[in-house]
Amino acid sequence: MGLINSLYLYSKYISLSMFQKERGFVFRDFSYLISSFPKSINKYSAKGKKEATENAVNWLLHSQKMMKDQGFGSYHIINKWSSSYPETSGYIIPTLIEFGEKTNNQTIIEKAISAADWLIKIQKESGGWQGGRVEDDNPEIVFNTGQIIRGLLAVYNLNKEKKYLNSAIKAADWLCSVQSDEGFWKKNALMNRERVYDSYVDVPLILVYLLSSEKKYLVAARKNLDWIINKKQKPNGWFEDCDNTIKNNDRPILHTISYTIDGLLDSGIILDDNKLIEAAEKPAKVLLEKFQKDGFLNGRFNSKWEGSEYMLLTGCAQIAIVWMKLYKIGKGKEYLKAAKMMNSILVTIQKRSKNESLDTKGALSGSFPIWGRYEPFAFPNWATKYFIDSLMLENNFTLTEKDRHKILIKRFESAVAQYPNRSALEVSGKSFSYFELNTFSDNIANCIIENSEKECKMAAVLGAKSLETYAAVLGILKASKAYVPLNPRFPIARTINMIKKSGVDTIILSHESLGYLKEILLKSDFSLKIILPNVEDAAEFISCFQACKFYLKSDLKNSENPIINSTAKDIAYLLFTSGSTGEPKAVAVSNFNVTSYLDFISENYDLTENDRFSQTFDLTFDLSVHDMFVCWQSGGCLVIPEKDSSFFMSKYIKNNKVSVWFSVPSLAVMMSKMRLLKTDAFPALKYSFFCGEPFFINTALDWQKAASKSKVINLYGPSETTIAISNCELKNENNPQKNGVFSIGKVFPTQEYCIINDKIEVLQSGEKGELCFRGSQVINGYFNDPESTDRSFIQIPGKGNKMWYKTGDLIIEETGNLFYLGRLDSEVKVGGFRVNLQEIDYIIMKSSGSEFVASVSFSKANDGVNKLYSFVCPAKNSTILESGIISSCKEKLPWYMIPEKVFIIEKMPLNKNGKIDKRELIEKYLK
Amino acid sequence: MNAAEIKNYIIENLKDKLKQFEINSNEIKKDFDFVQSGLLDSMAFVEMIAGMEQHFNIEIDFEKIDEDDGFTTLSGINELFLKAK
Repeated sequence: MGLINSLYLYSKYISLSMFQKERGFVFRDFSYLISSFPKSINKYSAKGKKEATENAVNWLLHSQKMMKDQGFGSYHIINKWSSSYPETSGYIIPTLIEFGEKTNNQTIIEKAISAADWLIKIQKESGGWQGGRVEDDNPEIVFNTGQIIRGLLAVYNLNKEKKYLNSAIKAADWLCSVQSDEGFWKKNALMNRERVYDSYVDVPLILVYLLSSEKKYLVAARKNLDWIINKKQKPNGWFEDCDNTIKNNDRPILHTISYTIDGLLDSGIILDDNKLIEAAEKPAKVLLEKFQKDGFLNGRFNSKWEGSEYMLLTGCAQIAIVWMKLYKIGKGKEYLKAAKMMNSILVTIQKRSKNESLDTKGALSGSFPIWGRYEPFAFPNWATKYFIDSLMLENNFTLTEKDRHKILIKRFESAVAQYPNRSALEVSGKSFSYFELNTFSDNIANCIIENSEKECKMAAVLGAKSLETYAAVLGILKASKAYVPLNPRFPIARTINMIKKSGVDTIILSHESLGYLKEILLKSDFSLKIILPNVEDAAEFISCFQACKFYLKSDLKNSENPIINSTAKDIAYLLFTSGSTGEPKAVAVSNFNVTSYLDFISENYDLTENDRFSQTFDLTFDLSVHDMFVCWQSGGCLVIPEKDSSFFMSKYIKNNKVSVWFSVPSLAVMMSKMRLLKTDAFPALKYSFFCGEPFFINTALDWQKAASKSKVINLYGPSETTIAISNCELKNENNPQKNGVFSIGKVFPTQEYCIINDKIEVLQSGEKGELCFRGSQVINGYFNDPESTDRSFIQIPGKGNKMWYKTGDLIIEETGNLFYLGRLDSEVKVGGFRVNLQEIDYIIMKSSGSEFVASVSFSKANDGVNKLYSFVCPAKNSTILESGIISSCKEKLPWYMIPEKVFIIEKMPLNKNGKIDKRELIEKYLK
Repeated sequence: MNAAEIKNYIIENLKDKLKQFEINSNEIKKDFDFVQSGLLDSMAFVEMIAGMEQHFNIEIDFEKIDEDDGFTTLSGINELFLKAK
C-alpha cells in the first residue's frame, strides 16, 4: 500500500511540477545526472562561495518575510510556503547573527532577534516547544526544544538581555525533567522513541550549564552522551536508533547521522573529552572515505555503512561542517579538502538562473536530484541554514586574495608558482630552484604540523646560513606558525631564555649546531620536538635526551603542500632586542606588518627575478627578513656568502654578480679601510641598501665610487617598525647631512610619524625631539610584556586614540629630511646591533658586586665605528679583575655586547645631579 | 722589518686585550688566529692591520688575499707583510 501510495505521489508531483514555473529545476537536475554530475564539478573560488552565501541568506530572510509570524518556513514547488518551524527557526538564529556580525549588517541581526522574541512568545507553560510546523499544534518535543535554546543563547551572548537566558534555562529545566533514568529521552521524543541524535540537544544543555553554573544540565547531557556511545554505537561507528522514523532505523538518513556526530563532537570539544571526539570521528571518517571514493554521499546508510538513495543535501552540509571541525582540532587536512569539495557541489546545486523567483533563489533543495526521496520538490529552510553555516566555516579557513597578499609565506609561494625552475638560493656552491626549496620546506612544514602542538604558535630555527636554515624559516611559516631565530653564537643562557620566553615546542637545526643544542639541553629541562632535516643518524645523541622527541631526515617524507591558515594579524617572526632591565624584549612582527614593508619596497624599487640578492645579516637581525623576502617576492636568487667572513665581501659581490646589496654601513667602512672600494669595482650592483647605524656621507660616497651604476640608499627603522621606515637616496651633490652623517631621509608615505618633546607635545619642523611612528608597519607591542609595551607605546594628545611607538631616537627634521642625532635612553648601536648599555651594567653589577658601573659607546676615529667601554668602581675589599668581568659578560651577553675594555677605577665621577658623568669618563679615559 | 718586529708590534698593540682574555704573550704561536680566537672582531683586525701598515710604511693588497690563506693567524700576518715588502 505504501509503495502504491508513494508511486502515486511521485507521478502526481512530477507531472504537476511540469506546470510550475520552477519546472526548470527538474530539467536541470536531470541534465546534471546524465552529465555524470557531480564528478564533473568545478571548484568554486572564495568569491563564488561568498556570493552563494549571500544569496542563501537572502532566501532565509525571504522565508521569514513570507510567514505570518517571525519564524522561518520552507518552500515546496507545488504546495508553496509552509508555516514557520519553531525548531529550525531556533537554530537559524545563530546563523543569521554570525553572518550579520561578519558583514556588519545590523538589520539581519535584528531579524534574528525578532525570531527569538517570537519563540519566547510561543514557549509552552512547561518550558518546552512544540514539534513540527506552528500550524500543527503538536505537543512539546525534546529535540526541537534543544534547538531553540541554541537560538536564545546566541541572542543572549549578543546583547546579554536576561529574558533570553531565562527562557533557555526554563527550557533546559524541562529537558531535565523529562529525561529517563537511563539517560535518553523517550517521553516527549518524536513518536515516543529514544533517539541518538539527541546528542545535538546535549550541546545546548552544556552551554546552559556554562552560563548558569547549574550542574544538573551538565549531568543530564553527560548521561545522554554516555548512553549514546556506550549503548548505541557499533564498533564500526554506526548508530542504532538514529533515524527520524521507526521503520527506517536500520538505515538512518545522513541528516540525523550528522546531527548525532556533530553533537558528540561539539560536546567532546567543549568538555575536552577525547572519548566523545573519537566516537564522532569514527563515523565521520567512514563518510569522508566514501565521499573521497565516490565523489558524492548517499542519503541513507545501513549498519554496514552501505549507502542508498540520492544525495540528502542538508546532511551533506552538516557532515561538511563536522569535517571542518575535525580539521580545526588537528585531525588532518583531508577533512578540510573534502568539506571544500562538498561545498563546491552544494554551490553548484544551489546556483541557478538570474531571473529566478525570490521563493527559490539562493535556496538549497532537500534532495539532489530535486525528486529525491528526502523532502522531494521542497526547499526546507534547514538545508539552506546548514549550507550557510558550512560556507561560513569554510570561509574562516579561506583566504581572500587580499588576505593572501598579506601573509608572508604567500610571497614565496607565488614565486614558486611563477618561477619553479629559477634559482631561489645559492649556498655552499650549490643552487636550489624555487621548486626544490619549496619541496624541502614542505617536508619540514608537515613534520611540524604533525608533531608540534596546535596551540603553540611559534617554532624556532637554530643555525648558521645553511640550506636547512632557510628551508626551516619557510617550513615554519608554511606550518602557519611564526619563526623565532636563534643564534649559535649567542651565550647558552641567553638562548635558553629566548626559548622559554617564546614558548616554542619545536626547534629545527642543521647538524653543525648539534653541539650547541647539546649544551642547551644539558643546561635546561626542556622537552622539545627537535627536527634535524639533514641528519641521518643521531642515535647516540638522542639516547642522551629522553625528554625530547627527535625527527631526522628519514622522517621528512610528506611533501604535500600544507594548507596555510595564518591570518594577517598573526605573528610572522619574533626577535629579541636588548632591554634595559637585563631582560631582552621580544618584538613580535605580524604578517600584516612585514608584508606592508615588502609592498613599499616592491613598489618603489625595480627588483626582478633576474636580481641576485646579498645575505649579510644574521637571522637574529630583522634586516635578514629583507634579504630573504624582498628576494623571494621578486623571484630572485638569494646568494649566501661562501664563508661568513666580512673580509671577503668584495670578492663575494664580484664573483657572485650580486646586483642588490644590503648591509650595515660598518661593512662598507671596513672595505674602505681595506682599500677594496676601488673605482667601478662592483659594476653589477644595481641597488645598495644600508641600514642599522649612522651612515657617514664619506662612506656613502666611497661606496658610490665602487658601485658606480648602483643607487645607494640609506634606510632607517627600529625592529618595532619592521625592518625600515624611512629612506634617503644618495645623489651626486648637495646630500642632506649633519656632522658628516647622511640624513635618514623621509618616512615612507604609507606610514605616519611625528616628533615629540618630553611632555608628549608634538613639535614643529626644526625642533629636536623624539621620533614616534604609527601605521601598518608598526607592531602592536612587545610579546607577553605589557610593562615594556606601556613604556614604548603611547597615545599622543591631539593625535587620536591609536597608539604611537616611541623610538627613543633623538631626531631633527630640516628641509623635509630627518636627521638622527642620538639616543634619548641608554641604547646604542654597535655594528648595527641594538645594545642597551644598562643591560651590560646590570650584568657587571651582578658579577662584580659593585653598584657603580657605567658603560659607554665611543668611536675613537669618529667614523661611526662604535666600541663599548665599561667603567667599574669596585666595592670595598673587592678584588674583581677585568678578566673576571669579561668572562661573566660572555656567559650572558652576545658577542657584540662584550665591552672592548673594562676600566677598574677608584672613583666614579658624578655630575651636578649626582648621576654618573659619562662625558667625564670619555674625556679622561678614552681620548 | 722581520717576523720578530711584527710579533712585538702586535703584542704591544694588544696588551690590554691579552690581559683581558688572560692570554700570555708566549701563547701567541705561529698558528694563533686573532679572529677565530675571539680576541678581535674583523673590524678590529682590519684596524690593527691598518695601524701596522702605517707603522711599517707598507701597503697591503687586500684584493689578493685568499680565503684559505689563514691570514688572520700570526704566520698569515707575517706572510702578508714580508711578501709586500
